[in-house]
Amino acid sequence: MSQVKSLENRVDEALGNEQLQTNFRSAMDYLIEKRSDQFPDKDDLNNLRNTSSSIRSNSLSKLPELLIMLEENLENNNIKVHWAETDIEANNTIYQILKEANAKKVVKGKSMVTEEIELNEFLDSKNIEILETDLGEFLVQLANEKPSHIVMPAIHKSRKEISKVFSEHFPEFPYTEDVDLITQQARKILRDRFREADAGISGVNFAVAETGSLCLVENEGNGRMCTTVPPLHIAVAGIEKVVENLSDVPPLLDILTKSATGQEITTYFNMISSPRKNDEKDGPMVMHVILLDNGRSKIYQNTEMQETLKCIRCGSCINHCPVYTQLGGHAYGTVYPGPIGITLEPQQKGISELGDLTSLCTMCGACAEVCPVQIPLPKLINRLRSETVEGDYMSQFIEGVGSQRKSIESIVWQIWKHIYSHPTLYSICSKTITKLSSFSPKKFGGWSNYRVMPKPSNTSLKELAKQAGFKNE
Amino acid sequence: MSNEVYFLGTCIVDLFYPNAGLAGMQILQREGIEVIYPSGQTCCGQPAFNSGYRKEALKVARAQMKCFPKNIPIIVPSGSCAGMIKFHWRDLFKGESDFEAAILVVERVFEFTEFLVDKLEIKLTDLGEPTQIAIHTSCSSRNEMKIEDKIQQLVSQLSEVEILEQERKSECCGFGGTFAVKQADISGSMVQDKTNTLLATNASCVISQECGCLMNIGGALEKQNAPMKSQHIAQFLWERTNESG
Amino acid sequence: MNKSKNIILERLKSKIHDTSHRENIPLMAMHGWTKSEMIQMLSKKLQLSKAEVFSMPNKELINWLNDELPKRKIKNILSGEQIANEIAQSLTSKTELIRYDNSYESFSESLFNEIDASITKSVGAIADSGSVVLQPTTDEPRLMSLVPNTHIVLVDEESIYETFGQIMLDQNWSINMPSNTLLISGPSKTADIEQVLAYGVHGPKELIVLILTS
Repeated sequence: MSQVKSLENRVDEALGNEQLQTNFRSAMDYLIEKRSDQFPDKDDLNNLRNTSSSIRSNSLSKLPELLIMLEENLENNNIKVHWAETDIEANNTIYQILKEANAKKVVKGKSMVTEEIELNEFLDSKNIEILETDLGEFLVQLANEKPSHIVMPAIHKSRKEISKVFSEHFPEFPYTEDVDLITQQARKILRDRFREADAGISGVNFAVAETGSLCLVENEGNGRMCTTVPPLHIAVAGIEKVVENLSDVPPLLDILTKSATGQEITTYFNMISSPRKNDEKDGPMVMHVILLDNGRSKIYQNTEMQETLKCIRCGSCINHCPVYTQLGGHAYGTVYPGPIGITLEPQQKGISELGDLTSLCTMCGACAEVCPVQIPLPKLINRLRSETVEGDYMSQFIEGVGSQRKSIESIVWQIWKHIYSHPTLYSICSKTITKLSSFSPKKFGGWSNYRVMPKPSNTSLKELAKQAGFKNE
Repeated sequence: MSNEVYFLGTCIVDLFYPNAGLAGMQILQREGIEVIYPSGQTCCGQPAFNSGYRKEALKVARAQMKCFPKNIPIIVPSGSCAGMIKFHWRDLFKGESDFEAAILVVERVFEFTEFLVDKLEIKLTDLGEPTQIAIHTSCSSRNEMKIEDKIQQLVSQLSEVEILEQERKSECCGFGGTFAVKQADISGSMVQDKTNTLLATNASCVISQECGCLMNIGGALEKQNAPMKSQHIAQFLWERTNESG
Repeated sequence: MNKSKNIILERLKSKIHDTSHRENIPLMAMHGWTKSEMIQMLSKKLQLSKAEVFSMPNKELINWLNDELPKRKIKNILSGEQIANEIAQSLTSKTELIRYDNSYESFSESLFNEIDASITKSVGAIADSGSVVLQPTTDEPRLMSLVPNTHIVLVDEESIYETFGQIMLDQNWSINMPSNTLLISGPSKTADIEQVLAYGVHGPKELIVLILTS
């Protein structure tokens, strides 16, 4: 898959694909506008962001206690709880549960955390059929690709591309580019699959400690199908998904759907607190929850980066990121792209492998302005950037700290430091540069492919100020 | 209010846009302010800081501190340099013995347009020819300093200047300091989008409070031989309001 | 298994919490709407999500069903015992009343392939987001509101709340959460293909909300 290519190659590929750039530009314009329509009043928005941010901070500040409370209440509700420290452990646990239930066919609702642990690939290797059922994820799976956005997985694909993939896989349906018809064909195909499935797998948007409830947000109804129709339901939740009280849920739901897709609310908000009870007629007979760590507890320990865990996965930082808009999701080569991706992924997988992602940011701050839980993303990205070249403290929590330091770059900054911290030396250099301004280079790396080189002035401001008679101290 | 201010010219202005810096100082002087340009100043540390080289940034930032000893405002003709000092020096000096001294500098920093509007409540009289311009509010002025409306307020006082609005005005131009070199192709694609939306307004000039953005946008416009100039707000204001100009 | 639990919890607990940092969570404001304003808001928001909304006195329900179901070519309708007791007598022969009286496994085939519509009650509705709230029961199981092409929901006008927060507080959900609680705010939909809205992707293609007044 694309992960094998270097970041540079993936970026080249994305920038070279005009269709892709057009698809992303128009999708992001659309999402930005829809979100902004949901927040006509700036004060209301700020109040809601403050509330949501406080809820997430409070949940994190009590995380160990809340996880224990959650486990207890889930177990009281007959939902079996498993803890997984790593992706491998989570996959194995899921496999064991499926094996014991003799489950061969699995349907899955949209879930980024199962992308994170690469559950599909794992179950494939164990000869368990796992089918994505969210329409976008289903289309991406048919095309043998990966989601390019955490909320809108097939956003990179045009209708024509989708029609083609669809008709290749389902020749029994007539070829069509009509979105309604494709949707109805998918409905027909997937409804049978829900009924045939031995198990359903889902993620979790919020896990309520107080009541032992799992909350799922969706528009399509496939999530409800996966969690209601098959006899077995397995939910996978990152340990940061827990909130303390039921009353924490309404503000988070409100800001999540408005920030993510610019919807007042999604079609379904599904709160599951029990498998089928004795007298009930439907719902799964058995439910399991996997509480997944996969690097989160280390992020938690890392005071300066802990806010990464406040994220509720709305994707609005991605939608507003000008770099993501240029590249789309695949260029990142990771599960989570955009600002949250370049913050989270290097912490999880290490700086040796993913430290270079931190270069995909202009520090423009658009992400932090829209983040519903006020994560200071540029600050975190900048902090992480420094860990790629000169960190020390964070080596307890992140692999590969300092590993991206390149000797030439580092020498340049040493020279810069030397000149700019010595005013006299700076003065000499500045005089030389201004004197020789007509000899300044016409080209510099990639800069001059798109712009002319800035030409130093033949008099510096310091000299101009002096000539004009301004005091110099 | 004290009648004196320091002017922190910034490294880009010092070498590449000195006239913008001088214009800023002259406007302040015209308002009856005594402007001091400390000769030992070099750079706020932002380039290294944003590239991850915090130790180097700290050393350079520290060298600035003794240039601004008096308890008077420090005026910076750049949103990002003002933002660097105002919001990131705390991080940079955290745990250092001179943290308190650094905070004394931090608390006196004003971006140039912010100071003109909020502190001086400046009144401008337009002496220039009718013209149409576009404004590029830099990301740091908008998202970090929250002063993006100041430049608009200043230009609105000029009777002969019409402001044209470009599409996606708040989107980053793609400069991002060393980003423009490290991720040159992404940055190039971004500035292309930015110049496209600017040129679509048919404005004759784009104005900004940020010389980094101007170097990027202006450099791209020049490379494209586009019929649009770029200018720092200080110089634009000075040229239009200065009687001998 | 407990090994991982211990490792994770140890790590989390090793982080010293700054409890002084704890923030107060501000309460969400109330709008102070009257009943009719709430009905208006609920209807408006639901209609924006492409649900159909009708408001009628309780006793008119049966007439509405007898008029509308045949018009909509709904030949059969799934209902729980409580609603069946109220309407079975007066429902015309054009519409067959079907009961979900066995477990899902033995009912799956007809549920998915034979039933046109379902009618359920609700525990209330939320005006500001335009949602109906269901807490499925033995009498009205979970899939009734998901599988049939048309889902008709009855909302008692007295059970409309301004906000989500209010209904959960007023009905004391946190004391006794039922197996499943659902907020439903329109027919099933997707925008996964070129952001084009398409309805009825997995769940009901039509959501009809009947607000019953006394």
